Amino acid sequence: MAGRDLDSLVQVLPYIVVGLMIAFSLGKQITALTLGEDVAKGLGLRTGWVKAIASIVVVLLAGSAVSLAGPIGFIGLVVPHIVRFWVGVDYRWLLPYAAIWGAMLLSLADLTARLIIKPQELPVGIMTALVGAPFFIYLARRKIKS
Amino acid sequence: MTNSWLVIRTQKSLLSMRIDRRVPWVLLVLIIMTLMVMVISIGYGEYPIPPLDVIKTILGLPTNNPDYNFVIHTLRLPRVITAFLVGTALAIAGAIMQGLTRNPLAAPEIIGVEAGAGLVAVAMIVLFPSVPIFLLPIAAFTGAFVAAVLVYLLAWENGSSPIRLILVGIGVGAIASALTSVMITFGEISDVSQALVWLAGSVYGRTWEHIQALLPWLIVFIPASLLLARELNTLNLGDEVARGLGSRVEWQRGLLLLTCVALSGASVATAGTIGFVGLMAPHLARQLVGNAHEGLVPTSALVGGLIVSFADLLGRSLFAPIELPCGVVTAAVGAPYFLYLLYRNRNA
Amino acid sequence: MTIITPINSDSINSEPALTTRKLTLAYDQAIVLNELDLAIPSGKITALVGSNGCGKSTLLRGLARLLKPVKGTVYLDSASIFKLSTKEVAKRLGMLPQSPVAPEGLTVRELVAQGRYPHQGWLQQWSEEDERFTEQALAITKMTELAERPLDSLSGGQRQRAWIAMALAQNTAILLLDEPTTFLDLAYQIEILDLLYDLNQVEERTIVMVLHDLNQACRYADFIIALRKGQIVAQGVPTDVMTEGMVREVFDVESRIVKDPVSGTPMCIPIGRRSRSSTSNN
Repeated sequence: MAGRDLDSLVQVLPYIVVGLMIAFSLGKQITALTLGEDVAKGLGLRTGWVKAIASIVVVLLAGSAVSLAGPIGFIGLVVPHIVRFWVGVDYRWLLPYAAIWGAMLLSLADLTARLIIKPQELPVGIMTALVGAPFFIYLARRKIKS
Repeated sequence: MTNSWLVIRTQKSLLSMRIDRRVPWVLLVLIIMTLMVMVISIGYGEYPIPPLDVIKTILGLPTNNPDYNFVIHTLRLPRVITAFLVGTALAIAGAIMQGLTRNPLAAPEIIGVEAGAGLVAVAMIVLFPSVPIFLLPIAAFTGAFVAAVLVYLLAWENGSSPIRLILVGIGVGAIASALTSVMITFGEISDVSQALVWLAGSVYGRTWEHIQALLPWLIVFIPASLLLARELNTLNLGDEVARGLGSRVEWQRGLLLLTCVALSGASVATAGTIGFVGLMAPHLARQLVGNAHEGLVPTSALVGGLIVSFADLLGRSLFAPIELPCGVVTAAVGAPYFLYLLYRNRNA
Repeated sequence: MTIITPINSDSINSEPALTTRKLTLAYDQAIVLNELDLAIPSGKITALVGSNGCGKSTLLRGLARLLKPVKGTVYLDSASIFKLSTKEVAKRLGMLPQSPVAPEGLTVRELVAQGRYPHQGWLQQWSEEDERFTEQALAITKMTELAERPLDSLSGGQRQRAWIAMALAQNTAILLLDEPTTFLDLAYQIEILDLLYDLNQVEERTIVMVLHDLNQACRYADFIIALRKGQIVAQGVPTDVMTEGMVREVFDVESRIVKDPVSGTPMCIPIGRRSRSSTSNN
């Protein structure tokens, strides 16, 4: 995270904005997709298109994030799970909430990464893995019953 | 009637077993191929030795060059043997893991063995550079074992479910890798580069001492894996069916995991992380001899040995005189293979 | 509320194959079956019926020692099933769970041979007896010709027959099956049930199965146990158990019980709302 200036942000910003806008407008379709391919088709969804557009959105968003800050693990895995506790499985709500939670968590992780071994700074990707992985293990234990 | 099986029974019916008819032939061909690669590999180098002289020297027959003896026995043979043994151990560990988790994409990595070994080894190189290097394998093995035990315990809840093992393994592996990154970020640059070379997985400069440290583990756990192969067949049908058939599921799974961890831990400790062998070898073996583990385990072992021997030869010859660690070669071949498997399994 | 029909002593005369005493089964503290006493007659076909979630599959898992009881126990020929070694039990009692999954590429013969597991040891891994029972099981289920085929290339009915063959190769006196006919079309359902009936008739195996279809249960079973919310509502021979009152209590459905025109066993015809005005509507 260290040494990122506003210029690089401005360069990437359009991709992020477009990505977010498409993502938020796809909420209804993705919710239908979670019911399974056949059900979604039965509901009149053109699943091939939805998947293609969703993939493009993933590339846009993940690509911009990585180009700005390098690979940062576990935010993408853990945040949707946390958000699901609050808003359930409806992607119209899940997506915006996930965006806000992700932003908050990463800011927090960055802050911790800078404070924890002052004056040096831990790469934020390591911080998210150290916090995210235990939570992931917790989820695995809780959610998967034999 | 049973045209796909080879049945072996002694006269007084003390002993009986069956294996797939293809197994003996496949094993024979693999052994011949491996020996050929080994001879070429020993002959190859800055100081080339003709194959016939390689064989003569190993058999103790006289050759017309007295240097051969030193070059082969001290420099090249231990390295080649290490490559073969490490490949064998990793492949068996992979076959066990895939059978246990009923997941064709599983590999010993997923229970955190390699990440654990990597963390402890790198920590030792970076934090205590003065510690003698021969302790590295012991430290790595300890790390592998601790990580695996941690995964097993964390995944335990009224029993150990394979899917929980995989997920917890991913989590523990991520933590260990993150901590390894911390070490690498803050370590002395010379220590770090030494650690990175080790992490890449190589059999460079391995000596008879390395083999001596590796061998006891293999002598105990390779036979164990062959004895437990039958149990894998049963566990492969799912916990419920296996229990119904009278298998002590948790006990057998524990033994198999122990075998897997010991074999992969010992090989990681010897040669660093040589990726994708544990994934690829059992797959290729399955294509050759089918699903029954009595034949699959030994076939995987030889395929794995062949892969690593060959990868080491390739790594030395492709960009000579620059040497690629064999872990890089296996990853370069293994990663696309993994993608191919993912693609093929996408509907499963 | 709970009607326990006394067992008709004429039809069930031998020693029970499996008995439970105060059997209490639970998943994660939630009790599914509470203090159940029952006796599975030996050499007969017993059907467990009941609505979804009534605990019939749980009961079957409990009988097969796959689920450890919170309280009480299961007796196999008068010995507690948990005191016997699990291999010992597996030589006498086979269990086929609901829709099991085989690993990719496994052939039918390899699967069926797995049924010999409890009879094998480290030295005896494939005795002549193992081979004989495996081939026999393939023959009985008419799977011999498909023996070299991988399981995933077969139809649902063939696959189910392969799994039953595995349970047969185990050569146990008692066979427990959890909904052996689900997901099969009518022809296969009848085929599987006929196969089980023959096994019972010819080899006198004790068969216990969970069945969804009441009429199939009446036709094929000698003994029916009806469950509701973890309690036994009725048990006995089909003619005694199948009453309009039982169907109402177990399934909450009004019905008429008539005589099956083919087998003469009781047949349940649910009434529902629509049937009252059926003539007015084509």
